[in-house]
Amino acid sequence: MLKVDKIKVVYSNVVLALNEVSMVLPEGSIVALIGANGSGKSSTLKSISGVLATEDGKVTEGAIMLDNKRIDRLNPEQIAGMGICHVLQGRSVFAQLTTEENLLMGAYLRRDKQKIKGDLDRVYHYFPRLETLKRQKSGYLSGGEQQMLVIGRAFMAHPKIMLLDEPSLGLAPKLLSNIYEIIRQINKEEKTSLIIAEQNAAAALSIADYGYVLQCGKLASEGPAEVLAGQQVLKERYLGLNSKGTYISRHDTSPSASGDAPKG
Amino acid sequence: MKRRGRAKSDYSQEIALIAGKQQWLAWAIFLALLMVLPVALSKSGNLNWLSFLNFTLMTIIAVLGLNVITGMSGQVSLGHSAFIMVGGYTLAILTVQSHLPFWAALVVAVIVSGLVGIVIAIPAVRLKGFYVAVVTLAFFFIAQYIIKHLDIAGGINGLTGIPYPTIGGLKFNNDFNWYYLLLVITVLCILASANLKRSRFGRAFLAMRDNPVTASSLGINVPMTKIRAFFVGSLFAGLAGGLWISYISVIRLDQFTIWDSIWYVGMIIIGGAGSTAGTVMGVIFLRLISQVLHVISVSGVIPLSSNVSAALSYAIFGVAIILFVSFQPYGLIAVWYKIKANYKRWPFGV
Repeated sequence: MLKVDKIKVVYSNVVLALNEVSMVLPEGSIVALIGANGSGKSSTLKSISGVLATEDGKVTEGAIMLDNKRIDRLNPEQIAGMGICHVLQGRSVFAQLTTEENLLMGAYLRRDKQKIKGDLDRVYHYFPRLETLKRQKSGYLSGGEQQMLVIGRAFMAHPKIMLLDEPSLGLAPKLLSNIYEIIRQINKEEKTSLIIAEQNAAAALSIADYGYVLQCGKLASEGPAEVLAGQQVLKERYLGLNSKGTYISRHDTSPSASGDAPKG
Repeated sequence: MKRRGRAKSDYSQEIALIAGKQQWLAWAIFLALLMVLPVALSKSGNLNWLSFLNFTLMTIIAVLGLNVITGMSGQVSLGHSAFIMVGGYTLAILTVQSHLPFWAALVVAVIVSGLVGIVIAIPAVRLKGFYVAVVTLAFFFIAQYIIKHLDIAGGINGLTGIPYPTIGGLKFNNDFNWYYLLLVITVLCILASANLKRSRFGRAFLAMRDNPVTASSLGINVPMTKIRAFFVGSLFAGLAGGLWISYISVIRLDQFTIWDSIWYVGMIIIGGAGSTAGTVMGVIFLRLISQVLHVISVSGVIPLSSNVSAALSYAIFGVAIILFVSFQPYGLIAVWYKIKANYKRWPFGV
């Protein structure tokens, strides 16, 4: 079980990104982390995986515990070794490596060669498209293919916990539901716990068990996914639906809410 | 229509260094040609070309090391000739002062150079890009300073009488014999370098270069990987340095210049950074340019003094770098891939 306990995150000693954010990820569950741009979703994930340090960020208060072990002072590679795999935002493929080599990099910390081969086949089973592209340099893949690749690469690490940062970014709706279906499958079949940070609240809440809503670096609301999905505030701010359940134009949002309106 | 190219049905075929019987044959013929090359050259009575070949082979070994550091791992090193210098001086001191046999001294020289690589990597891993280049540049001058003030290294006069290697009764004391020794070692080094990419160890270099944050989130220890890259790269440099010094049998500080380091970086850029085959092409390309200029000035076809031809080779080097960076940024290896792809698709497509 992963527990984030009232963390405060500061970048470059001046920029306060998160304040008193707490969340719990029970084993085998999916937690959605939703919020607008700059609300602190990525910072939360980065503080869990430890890559915060590479951006000169620090967890200054609070603690992050993995199975009662404190991990917020560890290096990213140590945290990765404990079974937490972070899929960074924006399809961070290793552009000069082929698709298959990218997937093999996911298994970097594993020594069980036979099982790695089996897992490679599993990834190709989940994403048949990747198999046809396995010799392509990953830099030449399309956005959707790269997104599949980074999720597949995280799967290759066989993590206990997968942190997904905006898997929906720039994907066509059909591809999006496809990827979410696979995420659900990975959760069911591999017992992988997931935290999904999303602007697309509807998509994330559709497969999550529980959700947290961030606003300006603070927890604005939390609750079971179905309950959150039904809340009117959330509907307006992140789903773009009005009280009648129809879509509202972005031009209709009141000036006070426009800062939080979903972008893109 | 005859089918060109080769359909691959298995990943092991894809990553194989040599794909299929035809390629084995092609490589065998190519190596055989390289084997008879000195015979043909010595028949024409031009030993100058043989020593050019030997220097080129040693440069290939050294630059393969730089390719690991700069090409594969993305750490621009301007101190590569210092690693070669460390290897050379270690060999010279051990053979001349301590009378160690050549091969033992060579092994020690390679290892010492690798260890120095680790020492340089420790400050360099904390830095990025341009600053790594500055650290390695500083290292070059520091190494030069230390060796200058080292009595055992002969100070500014250097050391002479460095022995040539022997295997059994075979003495490597002429260009002809050296060529075969260097050819074997170079082929082994090329194989080692090409194999790096196929291993978990070597892929970590590429992953770190492409995306260090993601690499660390997948469990790659980025600082450690950089140190490993410097270590491996310096091993190659130490080997080249030891062989070079034994080949010319004297060592002096002014044999190792900062210009060499810059030429090595240029060779990687022109060949195609990160690619073993590209590195070899880049070395041969730039070495040929300076050699051709040299031959022209010696032959007197065009009245060029040796000073002018040396200066001209720097100028051409600069122009070549500019042209490559702007028109062929992926280097000669990309040109080769283009030719190969066009051949496969001919007569369709371009």
